[in-house]
Amino acid sequence: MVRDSVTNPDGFDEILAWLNPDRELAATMYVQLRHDVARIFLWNRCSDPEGLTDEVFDRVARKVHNLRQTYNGDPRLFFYGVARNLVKETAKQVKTYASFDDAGVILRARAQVEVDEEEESVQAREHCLQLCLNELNSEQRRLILEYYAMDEQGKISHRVRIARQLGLSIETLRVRVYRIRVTLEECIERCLDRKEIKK
Amino acid sequence: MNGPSRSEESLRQFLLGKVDDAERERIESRSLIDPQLREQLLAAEQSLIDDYLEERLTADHRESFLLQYGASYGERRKLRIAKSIKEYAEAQPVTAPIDATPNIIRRRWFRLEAKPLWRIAAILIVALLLAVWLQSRRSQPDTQHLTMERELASLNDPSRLREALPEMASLSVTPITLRKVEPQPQFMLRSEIRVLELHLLQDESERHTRYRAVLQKGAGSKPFNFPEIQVSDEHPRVIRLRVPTSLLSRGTYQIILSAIAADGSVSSVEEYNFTVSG
Repeated sequence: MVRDSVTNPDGFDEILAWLNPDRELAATMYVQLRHDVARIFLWNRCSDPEGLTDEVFDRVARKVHNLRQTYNGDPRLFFYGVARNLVKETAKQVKTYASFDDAGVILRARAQVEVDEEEESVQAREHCLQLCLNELNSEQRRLILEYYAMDEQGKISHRVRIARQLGLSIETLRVRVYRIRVTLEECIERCLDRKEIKK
Repeated sequence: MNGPSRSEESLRQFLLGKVDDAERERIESRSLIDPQLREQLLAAEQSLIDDYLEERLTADHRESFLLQYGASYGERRKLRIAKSIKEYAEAQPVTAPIDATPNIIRRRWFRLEAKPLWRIAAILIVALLLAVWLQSRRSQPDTQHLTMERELASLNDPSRLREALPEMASLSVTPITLRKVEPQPQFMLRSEIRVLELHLLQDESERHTRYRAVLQKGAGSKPFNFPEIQVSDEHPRVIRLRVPTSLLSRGTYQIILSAIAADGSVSSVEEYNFTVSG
């Protein structure tokens, strides 16, 4: 869904005020909520989670003035309701315009991975990876490299050892690695995009 | 609003799209308002991606995984990048210097089960040389570092903090304990900006009136100390720190905030990270 966001500044301000009276905290909640809503679209196999998230916030922005007076409960659950409706609308559109089944999607995904591989050279990705690893602090860099080090068989026990050494549960270690990986992925994506523009 | 903790297996079923609509809606809606569940989902997702990359998924789960995480170009690109990270890490020799003193080397060196006398002697000699070197460094005051800390003290003087500086940019930073998946706050260096004002956002539960802060780039660099910070009544949940941009260079910075209690004791409160680019 390629679209321009139409959330106006007043709507944005009202959404912040609705989320929390403290503007700084509201801004933090807003950013978190955008990520959470985008993940809901991802979990529901929607092809443009970011575009659909914009649509959710635009729809809420149009109603927020009245909602602040009438809606009881956590505002984030209202956003969830709008996202859920949009998931259903999108599913209906897909069924109307194209008939496909899961097997078709898997085959396309598999084939597409190979096409994508050709579009982006391995060297470019490795170059960007090295640049982006240098942007992490040394603790983050060491953690992610150690987490993925070792051959396949030794990995699980190796990770348990890392977690124990850091005094963490394995789940908390995974969350830390998740965040570092996401930071790294975003950096690499930006780097690859810059390379594509230069071509 | 914390419900019962869910098992990783049930969350994995959810992430693979193998739960009914009612359960899906329960998990999705709770993930927006329950930080504990959000963390559990992140951990389960990391575990799932690891299993995919390391080819530990069953054929059925692999198909479901591709349906969920391979549907769009953006998602496939993320998977390719994750695979590259894994392959790069695997290709690093174990003894390669990931940084100056990687944990893995330290662990092997200090392993208790094999410690012959020559090794203990070598450690003592290295420790002695290190002590001599540190002593010699201490006796040569780092004037540049002191100048920077003086500038920090001047910029963060409570009377000057009320002034709005003309060549100043601001950046809001959330503590890493509250940050979930949003990107790390980023500041782009620009010649016209001379001062960066950091707004350290605080958890509601952490309220103190006096703080100390230390700014550091990476673990190996020398930290910069800020003068004692008094929290203003106007913005009790925001701590403002001003940093001259001449002190910053590209990379990730860490700020450790410590609270000063009424009896003068100091306790660590929060850690903040931000990235400088440009």
